[in-house]
Order: sequence, then C-alpha cells, then structure tokens
Amino acid sequence: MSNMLGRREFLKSGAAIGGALGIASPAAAAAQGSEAKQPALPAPDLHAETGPVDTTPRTTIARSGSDFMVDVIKGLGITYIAANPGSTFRGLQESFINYGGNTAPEWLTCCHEETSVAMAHGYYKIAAKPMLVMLHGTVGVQHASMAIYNAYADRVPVVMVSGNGADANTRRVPVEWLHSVQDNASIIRDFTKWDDAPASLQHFAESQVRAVKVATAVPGAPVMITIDMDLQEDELEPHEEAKLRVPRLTLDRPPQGEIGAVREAARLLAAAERPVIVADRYARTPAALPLLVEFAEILQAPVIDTATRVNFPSSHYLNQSRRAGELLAEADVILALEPTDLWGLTHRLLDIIGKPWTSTIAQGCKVISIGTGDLLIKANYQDFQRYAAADIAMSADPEATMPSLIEATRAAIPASRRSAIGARGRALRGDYADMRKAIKAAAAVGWDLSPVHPARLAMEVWDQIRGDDWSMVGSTVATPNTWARQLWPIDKFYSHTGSSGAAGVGYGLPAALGAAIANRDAGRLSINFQSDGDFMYAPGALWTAAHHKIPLLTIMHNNGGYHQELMHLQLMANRHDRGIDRTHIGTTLHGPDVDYARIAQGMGVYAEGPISDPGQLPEAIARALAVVRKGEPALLDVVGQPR
Amino acid sequence: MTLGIRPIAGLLPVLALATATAAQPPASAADAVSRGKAAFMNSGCWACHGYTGRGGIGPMTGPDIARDEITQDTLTFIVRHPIKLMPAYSEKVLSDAQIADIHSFLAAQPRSRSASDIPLLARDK
Repeated sequence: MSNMLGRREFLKSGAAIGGALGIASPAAAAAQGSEAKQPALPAPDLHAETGPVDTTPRTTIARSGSDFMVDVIKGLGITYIAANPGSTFRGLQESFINYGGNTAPEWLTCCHEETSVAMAHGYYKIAAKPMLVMLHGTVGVQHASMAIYNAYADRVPVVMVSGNGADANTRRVPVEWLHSVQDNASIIRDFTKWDDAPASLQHFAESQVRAVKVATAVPGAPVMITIDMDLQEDELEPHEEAKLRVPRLTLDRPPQGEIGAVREAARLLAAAERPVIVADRYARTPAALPLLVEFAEILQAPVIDTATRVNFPSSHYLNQSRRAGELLAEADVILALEPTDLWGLTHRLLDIIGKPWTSTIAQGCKVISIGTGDLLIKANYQDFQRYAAADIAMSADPEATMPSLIEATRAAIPASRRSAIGARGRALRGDYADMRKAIKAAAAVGWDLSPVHPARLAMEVWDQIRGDDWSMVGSTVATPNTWARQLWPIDKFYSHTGSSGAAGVGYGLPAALGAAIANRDAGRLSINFQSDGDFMYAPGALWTAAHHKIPLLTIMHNNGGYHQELMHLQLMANRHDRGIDRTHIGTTLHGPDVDYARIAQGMGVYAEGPISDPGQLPEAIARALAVVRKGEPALLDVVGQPR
Repeated sequence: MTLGIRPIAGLLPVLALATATAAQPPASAADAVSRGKAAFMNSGCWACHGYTGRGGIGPMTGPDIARDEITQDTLTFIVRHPIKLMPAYSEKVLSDAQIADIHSFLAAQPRSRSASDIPLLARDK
C-alpha cells in the first residue's frame, strides 16, 4: 500500500464501486494504460455520487487485524513463539511484542527457521504442549522444511504460522513478490497434517483454534496457518470486531483399541511362554510409564524400549532392551506398542551385495501391533516403512488402550498359569543382573583412552548430576547419549527426549534448546550430548541460548566429521575393492579443525575445550555445570573416540 | 585437535603413550606394532572399532577387537569374510602381512580394566 490507495481506502473509493459494477473508474483506466478498453456505457459521475474522496494517506490506525490474531493465540495457552524475523508477518510480530506485551507467548529470537521448528519439536517432548513457530513466507518455510519433516516423522505437534502477500495489488516490489506464493503450504503438505490460508479474521480465528486441535490430536503432527499481510495490517474497526467470535478450543481424546481385539490380544499374551513387549513411540504422557510397568509385571514379560521415547524405567528388571535380538528371536508372542517399523522389528536386511533379508522371529510367533501409523499416512514420503503383517493389528493409541489391556490381561490369566509366570519373572531378574554387568564391562573397556571414550564421558557427567532433577535432551544420535541411556537410570518420562523422527541432521542442538526451556520452567537441569556434524548445521542456536539465558549444558562429541557417512563410504570403497584410504574426502571436518569452544564463546556462551584427556573432565564439567546452575548455557568441547 | 584418517600424525603421540604402558616388545615386534598402527588407521579399522580397537556402541560400530582370544588367524578370517555390516577387505587392499601387523598392534594395547576396579562404574548397581 505504498503508492496507491490502501485496500480499505480503495474499497471506499469509487474505484471499487466502479469495479464491482464492471465499470472502469478513471483511476483504474489510467492504471491499465492506453490499451485499456473503455466501457461501452458512459462513466457515471462518481464524484457526484460519493462526494469528495479524501486520498491523503493515513499514518496511524488504532487497531489492526493482527491485534485480534494475538487475542486468538493468547487464548490457546501457548507460552512461547520461536521465530526468525520476516516481513511477511511484521504486522503480527509487532502486535505480539507491543499489544501482546511479549508475554504468554514470549518471543524467542532464532537465527534460522530450522532452529525455530526443532526448538518447538524439543519443547513439546518435555512440556507436552505446542510452542508456536512463525515462518517467513516462502523462504522461511523452505528453510524450515527439514525440521518440519523431522517433527512429522516423530509424530510431534508443531503449530506454525506463516506470512504471505496474497494480494498482488498490495505487494511491495520486488522482494514481497519473491516472498509471496499462491499456495504457501504446498512444499510441506506432504509432511504436515493440515494447513489453511484464512481469507478473513473470523476465518483465521476458527482455523487457528482448529490448528491446535488437529496438531495435538493423536497422532500428533505439524500444522500451518498462512496469514495474509493485509489481513494482519489492515485496520480493524470496532463495528467489524464486534462481529468476530473466537471459538472454544476442545482437544480430542486419543482412540482406544477395539475391545474385541484387546481381549484377543490379552488371551494370546496370557497363554504365551515367551512374550516380549516392544515399546516404541508408546509414551505420550508421564502416565504411560506406570501403566506399562503394571502391564509388564502382570505378565512378567521383558520390555524392549526402543528409545524413541522413554517408555519403561531402565532400573526395572523387566527392561531388557539390550537383549532385544535374542528375546525377539525366541518370543512366541510379540506385542508392539506404537511401532515405527514393525517390519524392521521382525526382519533383518543386510547391507551387503544383494541386500538379502530374512525374518528374525520364530516360526509361529504371533505379532500384535497397537499403533496409529495407519491413521496418518501419506503417499509421497516413505516414513511409513516396509509393510509387515500382524496377527492382531489395532489402529489405536497404545497408551490410551493400556488400561483396558491391563484389565483384559488380568482376566485372561488362569490361576494355573501364575506359577509359570512367576518363574519367568525370577529368571528375568537374573538376566537383568547379567545384562547390567555386561553393560558395565563394555563401558570399562575403553575407560582410560584418550581421546575420551564416550562411556567415560557419560559417567563423568553422571557423577556430577546424580543428585539433580535432570533431563537428557537433544538427539539420541551422539554416542555418549547412547551410553548414558544404558548407564544412567532412565526412569522418568523426561529422562531423555528420544529420537528426531526422520534422522534429519541439524536437529540436536535446537531441539535441546526447546526441551531445555521446558525443563527450565520445571526447575530441571538439561544435558545435551551433541554430535559435531549436527552442530555445524545450526550453530546459531547457541546465540539464542545465550540471549534468552537458557540453562543447558552442551557437551560436544567431537569425532571430527560426519562419522556414519564416513563408514558408509568405507563400505562402498571396500565393495568396489579400491581401498578406503580416501574416504575422508567429503566426510570429515579437519583442515581446519573446528574450535567449538571459540564458536560458543563468540556467541556469548561459556565454553571450554578441546578436551582429550579424560582426567581433565571432572573439573571442566564442574565449572560448566556451575554456569548452567546459575541459569545460563555452557559448552564443553570433548574430543572423543569415533563411536 | 586433529583426528581421522588423513591426519594420522596427530594420533601418534596418543597411541605411543597408550602402548608405552604395555610390555615393551622386542625391536622386530615393535616394528610390527608400528606398521600395524599405520595399517589400522589407513584401513579405517578405527572408524568402527575406535582408535585402539576397543570397539564402539550403537549402529554401524564394531566390537572390541583388542582381545587376547582373537588370534591372528581369526582376525584374518573375519577381515576376509565379515558378517553383518563390516566391509570385506580383499588382499588387494589389505594384505595378510598387514593384518598380521594389525594383530600385533592390537595385542600391544594395554589390557582393559574391570568395571569393578573403576569407582564410577562400581558405585551404582
């Protein structure tokens, strides 16, 4: 609206009236140029019909559409907004920080849209409520797309709002044209659950409320509302606002398994000699853990926790995750709770020439699956994994189904089975003790190595946080995280934040930040074991941590590159019989080596390193933790063994 | 800090320190250890098994191979005919003599401690 009448002024003017009548006004005709066809009828005397038109540009308005949008969003209980600034949502941003007072929600300044979305992803995993993400039209959505895919594949709700200039008549040239699009959500529609582009403020109110409802309905997933710039920036007059209504938010209850299938599953499990429970993305809430403990104890069945969520306490003797291979091979009934890859659970494909695959479970083993995978499946992206048959398949939320499964299983166990079930439990206690010894023996193998062995690193950290209420955040990919999940007591819903979903690199640090915000609000200490290659995607997240004083201890696992990709390249080089002495090309981060401590210091984060000597860890960890306990971020660059 | 395949020189002091604590082999054996160290690094064994063969954890990692029970013949057989994920090494890219040197290098590594001797591991159940 820079050099012509604003939309409202336009509508008030004869130009609009003339247009509505199919009659070109003098102004419109002039704008169309000399080739504009003149109307057949003589132009009416609009001046005489409408009176004088005041075309003097107004400089202020009392209230805008974006103020109303803030009112709508404030009613949704959202605490934070993560965003990198973008002019397509400038109206709404101004309303948030001034009209909305920058509280509930509070604006979090991010340096990349991928960071914004990953922060919201990590935040949800601890807070169990959405963080709003604002995205610049087109380019911001493009930047965010990988992180959105991670959240989608992880079935985590992320509520996004993106700006756009829908009306070509009011776009500034040239950049606003570059950042406007007919269908803003098209590039992410394959991996979001729902989107809309409201045409009015009433439409916005209903769609924004619906967005939260849809995103959080099980299975959760990202959603996006695209808001037109004019809708944000145009004046909202009292008589218009009086007509607007904000609908009440009602959240959906998750679907339970059909009771007949639940009873059939209970009968199979009650009669099984070697039942195994596999908990994948089972736990949505803290209530999930005690429910699964109760269920597993009824059956005295081992539980394999795949670590995509914290599903079952690692201190419980029925958590036999490290024995997954042997247990699944011997099982006569397998119960899979929200499996992300049922085929992979029951088969093995070898990454050798010919890619042979085979079933890994016993012939006749019955497989029961309870999950929501088929309730949100799309064609293009292949996150749904290979098809696998189950003997009983329930499209249902396993956490919501667990109470009825517990009741049905209790009823299905005859008195004659109780002795055998008790004996199974006693044997599993012994297996658990042996498993714990094996884990510690494995951790001891490289204990004194320099560069630092990741098991040593995990335990040096543990030694100093054992008295805290702690949470391990970020990605599960970093090797010290893998060791910590075996050596630390992972007994609470928030003990770690699980997987990224789609294994999209760049998730770890920003997701850790989002989770650390939620942990900060709960008075909890956050620890992030950070892969170096992942860090290099979005190091600017450290500035966000410093600026917003997010208490988070980040410990680099510095192994000098994209190590898994290095191993993939080695596999190929050997397969081609060419030797592997050149596989560092394109896979390592040497020459120069990255000084992560200096990067962090440059963004205002306390940092030390590189540390290669494990003997230096206790004091360095203590210094860094002191900073974090004061409420600020800290980073330790620890040079480690490769895996 | 310099690590990885290419900058092997950065690791030499570390490995030298580690091997210094083991029993000193005779000169010819020491040569084999030195050659084995170079072959171990240049052949990428370190990527999955760690810089001293002590193994890793998680997907795409290898076990501890610096163990007494892994003989030279066993090591040669595994290198030529690996199972699961390990890439096979032909004689063209890794000779039998180099495997023998690698075995010498692994045998020269300090023996690992027991978990019960490490306070941080012994303290918790």
